[in-house]
Amino acid sequence: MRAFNRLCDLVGSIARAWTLALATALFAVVIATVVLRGTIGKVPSWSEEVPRYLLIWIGFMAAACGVDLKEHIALDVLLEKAGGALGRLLHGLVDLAILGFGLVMLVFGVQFVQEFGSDLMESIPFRNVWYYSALPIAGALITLFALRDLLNIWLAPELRTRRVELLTAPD
Amino acid sequence: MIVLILVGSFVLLMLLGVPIAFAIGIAAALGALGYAWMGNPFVIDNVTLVQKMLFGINSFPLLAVVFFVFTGAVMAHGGVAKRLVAMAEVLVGRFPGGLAQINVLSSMFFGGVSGSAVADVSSIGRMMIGAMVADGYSKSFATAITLTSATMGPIVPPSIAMILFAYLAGNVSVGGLLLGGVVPGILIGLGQLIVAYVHGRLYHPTRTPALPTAEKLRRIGAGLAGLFTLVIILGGITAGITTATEAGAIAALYALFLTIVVYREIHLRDLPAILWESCLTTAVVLFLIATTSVFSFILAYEKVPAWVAENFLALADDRWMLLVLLNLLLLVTGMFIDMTPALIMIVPIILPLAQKLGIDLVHLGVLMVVNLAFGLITPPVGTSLFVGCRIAGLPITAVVKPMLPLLAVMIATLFLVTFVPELVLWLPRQFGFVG
Repeated sequence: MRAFNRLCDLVGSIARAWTLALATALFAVVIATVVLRGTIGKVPSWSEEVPRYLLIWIGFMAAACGVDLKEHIALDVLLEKAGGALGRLLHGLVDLAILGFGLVMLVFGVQFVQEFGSDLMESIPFRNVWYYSALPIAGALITLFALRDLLNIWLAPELRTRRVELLTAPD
Repeated sequence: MIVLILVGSFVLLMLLGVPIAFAIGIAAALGALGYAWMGNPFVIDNVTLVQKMLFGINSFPLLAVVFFVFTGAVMAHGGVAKRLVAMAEVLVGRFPGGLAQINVLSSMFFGGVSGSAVADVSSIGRMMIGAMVADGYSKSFATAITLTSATMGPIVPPSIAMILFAYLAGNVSVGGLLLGGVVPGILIGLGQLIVAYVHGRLYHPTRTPALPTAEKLRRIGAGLAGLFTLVIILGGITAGITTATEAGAIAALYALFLTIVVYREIHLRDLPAILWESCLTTAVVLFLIATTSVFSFILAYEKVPAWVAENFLALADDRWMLLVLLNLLLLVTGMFIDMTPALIMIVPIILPLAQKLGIDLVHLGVLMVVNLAFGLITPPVGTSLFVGCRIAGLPITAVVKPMLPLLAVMIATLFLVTFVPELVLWLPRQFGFVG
């Protein structure tokens, strides 16, 4: 289990680094757009389109990592109350549900990319596969992280990821 | 039948503890399966399901959420809160119940830079609860006033909830919504200042020590530097110079400059962690929107919003009755579901009805956010309530009684905001956002 957990950590670190790189690019593009509009009064034609694609990647990748870090909003009153075998069973069911949806995103996402990924983007000469791929990749990560938690519940509870309180919740 | 599958599976999964975004997504997938099973697979096939998720967040205005969240995170980590508390001490510290008043005013200011109640409770609460207890206040009152004053976070601009409402409602100005929250936010703050004053007169007449003028000026200068974020955001949008997204980006840049160069509280090595925290927070919102896009599509196909409108109209045939019922619905919903998912689920259903009855969308948006703000601090599910009680080391039951007069002030404000729409619409109208 330790080796599998280390593999998941490595995948999580790569996803985090990739997301941070995209977020930095997003900031750079939007700030450059504001500066260009304010100085020369013109902005590149892709200045609205590229940030949207970056946002989609950031949203899906960080949402997948959020599964591992248990950051998604949940009504967890029952989960917190239930202990012992019942608690493990409930946590296991939750993980199974998340894993199932991750598979839906992965399998149907791959179908979607195969059918429509070769279409061209609106204002740049790239194919949509570059941005559509965010969804099946996030699906794969969600599946992996949910499987990790499911296995850890039963085989290595001490390795389960604990939720960290973020200073900036959306509410 | 499909609606039954959709709503039934969502409620069941949510009660089990499945994250709300996933519960919605799975319910939508089951709905799609239901269509296939009933011999009608073309309503929503496999590919359409994921396509709707992707296209649901393919929106430029949604980018504002990333920047607002990042600005709030930088401000929360960058020592802005303690400077706002120091400024509030200059302004209200000499009144009876000085520290309680400082707590309320700091929250109002901090809401003006973070847009988040939870960030407010974490930042202001960690400083003020301990300070108030050391000064002789009961821990339960200190926690209660921290919690209730933090509800101003999503009401006063910059508000992530208002950006979200603007996106969900479609045809409504972000600037109008942000400005619409100003007066209700100030009213809630003033009401809580009055409660703090009365509490001070009755139980805690001590005031904070007088400060030399130079120190007062220094504190006000440092605090105003933080509040300048609000000027950047509101100024840019209301003057029509920037979109909400661009205003958010400039505010983020300013927050970085202020906290790294001026305050020197954040080091460059801290930035990846802050950016990652912002990405996670934003992703939670975006993923909810993505899965709800599929859910809402099925609801719309099944004509649920129209059905709700029709049946609601039978109960409430004028706008005031609708607003009363809406308040009740939102107050109860807010007790069980957080503000973000509640907005994402309820806005598309309630919107056609509100438009039919001629309710201004800026009024509706502000009203929804004020209502759902109650849910942040009321059991059984109150994100801010949990965070505040954890910081104070108190059980939830301990803060209920001292919170009652503060909640009464909020309810009075809600009543005013419901029945005097001009309180919301006046300011946006001055800037041409409302006709």
